[in-house]
Amino acid sequence: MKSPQQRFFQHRLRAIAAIILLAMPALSPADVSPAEMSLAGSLAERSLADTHALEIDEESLAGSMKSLADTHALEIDDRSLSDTRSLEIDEMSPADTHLLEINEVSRGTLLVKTPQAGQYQLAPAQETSVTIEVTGPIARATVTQHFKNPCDAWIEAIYAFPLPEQAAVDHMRLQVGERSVEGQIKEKMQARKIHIQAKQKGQHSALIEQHRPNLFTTSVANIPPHGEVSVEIEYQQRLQWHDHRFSLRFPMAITPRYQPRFSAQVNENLTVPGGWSILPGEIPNVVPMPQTTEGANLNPVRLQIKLNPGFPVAAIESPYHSIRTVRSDNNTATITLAASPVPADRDFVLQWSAKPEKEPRAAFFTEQTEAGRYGLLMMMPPQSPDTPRIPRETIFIIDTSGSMGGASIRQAKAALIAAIESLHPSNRFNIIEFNSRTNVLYPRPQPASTANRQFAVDYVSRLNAGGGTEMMPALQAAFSMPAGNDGFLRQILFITDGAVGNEEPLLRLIHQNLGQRRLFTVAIGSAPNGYFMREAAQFGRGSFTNIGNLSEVSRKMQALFGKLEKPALTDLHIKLPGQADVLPDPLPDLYQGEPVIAAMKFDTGVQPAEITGRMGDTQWNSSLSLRSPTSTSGLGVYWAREKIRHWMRKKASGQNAGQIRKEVIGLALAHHLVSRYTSLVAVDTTPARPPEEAARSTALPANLPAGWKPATAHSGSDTGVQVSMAQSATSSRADLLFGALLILLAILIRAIGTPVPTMRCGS
Amino acid sequence: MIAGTCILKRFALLALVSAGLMFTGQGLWIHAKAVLAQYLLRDAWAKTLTDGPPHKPWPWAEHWPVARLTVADHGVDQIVLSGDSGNVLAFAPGHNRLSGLPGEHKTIVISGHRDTHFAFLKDLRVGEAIGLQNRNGKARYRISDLQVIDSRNTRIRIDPFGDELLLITCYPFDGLVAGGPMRYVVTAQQSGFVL
Repeated sequence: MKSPQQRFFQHRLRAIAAIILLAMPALSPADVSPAEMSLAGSLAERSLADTHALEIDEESLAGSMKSLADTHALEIDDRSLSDTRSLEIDEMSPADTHLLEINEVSRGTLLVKTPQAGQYQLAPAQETSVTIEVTGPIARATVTQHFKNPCDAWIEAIYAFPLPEQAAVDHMRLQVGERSVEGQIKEKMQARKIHIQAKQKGQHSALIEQHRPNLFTTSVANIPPHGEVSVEIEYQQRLQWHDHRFSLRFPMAITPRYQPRFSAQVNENLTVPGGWSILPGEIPNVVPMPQTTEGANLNPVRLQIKLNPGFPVAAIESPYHSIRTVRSDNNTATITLAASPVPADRDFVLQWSAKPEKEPRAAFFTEQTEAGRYGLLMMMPPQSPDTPRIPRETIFIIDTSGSMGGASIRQAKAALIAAIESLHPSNRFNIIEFNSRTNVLYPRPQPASTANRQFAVDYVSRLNAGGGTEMMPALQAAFSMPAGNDGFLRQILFITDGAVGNEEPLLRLIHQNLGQRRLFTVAIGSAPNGYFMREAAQFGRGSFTNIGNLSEVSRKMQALFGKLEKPALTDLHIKLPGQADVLPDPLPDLYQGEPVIAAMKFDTGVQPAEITGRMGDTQWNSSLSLRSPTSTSGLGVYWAREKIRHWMRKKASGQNAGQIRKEVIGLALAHHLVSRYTSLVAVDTTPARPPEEAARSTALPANLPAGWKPATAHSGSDTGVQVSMAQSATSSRADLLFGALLILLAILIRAIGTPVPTMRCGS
Repeated sequence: MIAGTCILKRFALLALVSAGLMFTGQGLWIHAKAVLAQYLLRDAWAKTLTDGPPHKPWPWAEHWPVARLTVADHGVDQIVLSGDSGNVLAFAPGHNRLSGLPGEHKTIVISGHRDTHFAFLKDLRVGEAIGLQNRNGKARYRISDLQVIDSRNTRIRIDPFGDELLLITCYPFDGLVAGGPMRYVVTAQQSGFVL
């Protein structure tokens, strides 16, 4: 990676070269070849383009650091920095201290604060037991971990657990000696009161913390010397169906130990376990433990997985651990580790697939609680690769506003060109470009003939970013295209960064005008407005694709084209006997290779449910008996989460806000869920350490490294969002200085008379 | 040949001077934009305060004023725009849209360029007062902390119950070139709120 200084000077030098080359022909036209002319032009262009690229790069660096490559590079950079810092500590601390940064956490870990900001010591884990119940696509995990305070002093620590994507902790219990702290769901105002009370007791919450996304953290204050801490968390996650199988991952990889500078291992070879950044199917980067120390290696893990996938299982595999599988019947199994307990040194991965001839078509699960009866229906689209090609009419909307400048517009154009080129001649298409103004390529959609596609590609490649973001007229233009009943599948592909201030009128517009159309959103750039894009796709009954950088365009767009070309089932409806509530409402379309998952609350079972849909222009019917032999947990929670989402969406379609708030709070409290109106707060259910103890503990114990501080603060759980910092400097000073230097140089040359050229003039 | 080299020399001088002027111009333009925009923003802000909805300061603007930041001790009076991307910060300090605003009881995050709007941050001292006004009312803050942090490994936690105001700019203040990782963070605690 280039340093900002390098980039600055490269950009300026290129600009000077361009000026010189462009000015040349004016002075002596004969000396300059056309090649040089075009070189000058392209240099000037590149230096302009570079300004944009520079801004974007900086933003994405300071911003969310979404691209994996960047994050890794940075983490490695950070480590090389911290190495030198921690080396000094190492010299004065016991030899077996392992220091690490919170971003390096790759499994459930108790981190003890050290005097070095951002550096933590690992508290040895005594035992970890994990129970995961898998019900169809839902995994509910209960993790219990025991730790021990390694010091002779009261300490403050942070418990950190790297959560899988889209998982949220809904229960948390901490036991510290006699004390117990419980995570409770409270209405926001009440949560605020608790928080203020904690503040008044002198406990304050840390405002700036080091985190990466989806790292669950909670503070554990006042751990007595050599005291034990037990942490219990529960989280629920929806598993992804990929390549005809489900895959479950539980983080157990050992956090890489800090490598001293003089270590035999070279830092460059150190692979970074990226927690959840490893894609399913990849081998996790496991760093070998260089030296075993007590506690670090003795971290026995007991793991039990109850598998009820809802279909006859062909194979259950764990690529990195040997497992013992006990099958109770055709559809369920209990999996434990063959050598239990095993030392935890790599992530546990479990994959299961269906018997090929019995690829699941549908599965149904139920849960009976005091609150009612809940169901979960999982449906696979019918596999029929030879479905007739459905004629499609695609309207592309591309955002060319100023916020799309630089890398974003290049990504957007690449994505759009890929989309146009993928069109079949039997399809029709149109392009709408908008910034402050809206431009429509054709008055009405045109067939995607070779000539038309070429024309459109040319049009798109000439687009530039600039101006404001007036999204409304563009969407209105798309919805005003005629939508007769001519057998065409109507799709709108919306490529934008979603930089809009007021989403609700836009979502309402989509909601009211959608009709038979489907809206697919493609997010561009390093920091798109993900909320708006996701919701727009949800209201538009399409899907959301996020393109973080240019290299992802082709892969992500191909996946999207697959969906656009072959929607397996549209207009899905599930009709249940009696009172029933089926979510999401309306049901999304079924695409090849993706299951549709519906949550429901209902009062009568046994009778068959009617499922209807449309495949192309044929009607599809199926009846499904709602019978599930056993009750499975987590379905009520899943239904409640879907219901909360459902209510939040009603906000955009104009429902009364007070009513929505009431409904959501009711659901969230009943099902123990974090929502817009409720939070998970850590409530200490026992009195804290007496004040005189606190005073005593401030004396530095003998065996602590110099500078260690005992704990006094207590902070809340991770209820807040985190934001990254803006790029907040310009190069105005460098510009001024550089400009002044150039002028000075010119004056100097003029004043001195520059001997060498004068001699040449005279000779 | 002789004439050619003489022309070359004259041309080299011309190129140097013009390039020099261009960069000085560019540098000055950044400052001019920062100052001029504030005048237009003040009008838009006055309108917002009288009738409520956000007003765009100029027709093609993508952002609108959300607050007014004052530091009486240092003669600072600036309009804050929504959003903190590069195209906002050229004109005014920018408000992080995920953060709060006065009256919301949520951490407020405002960023500004270290060489224009937020150059004054280096003069702030713990205990000094900051004012922030929006449509909800006027909030007063007292500076509690001044820190330098590394944006590569630090993120800001928006405390959903927090009453803090964070002013952020690039660090070091006398840095020449944009794009460094360090940030200067001024933390201030709310000390009062008037409707």
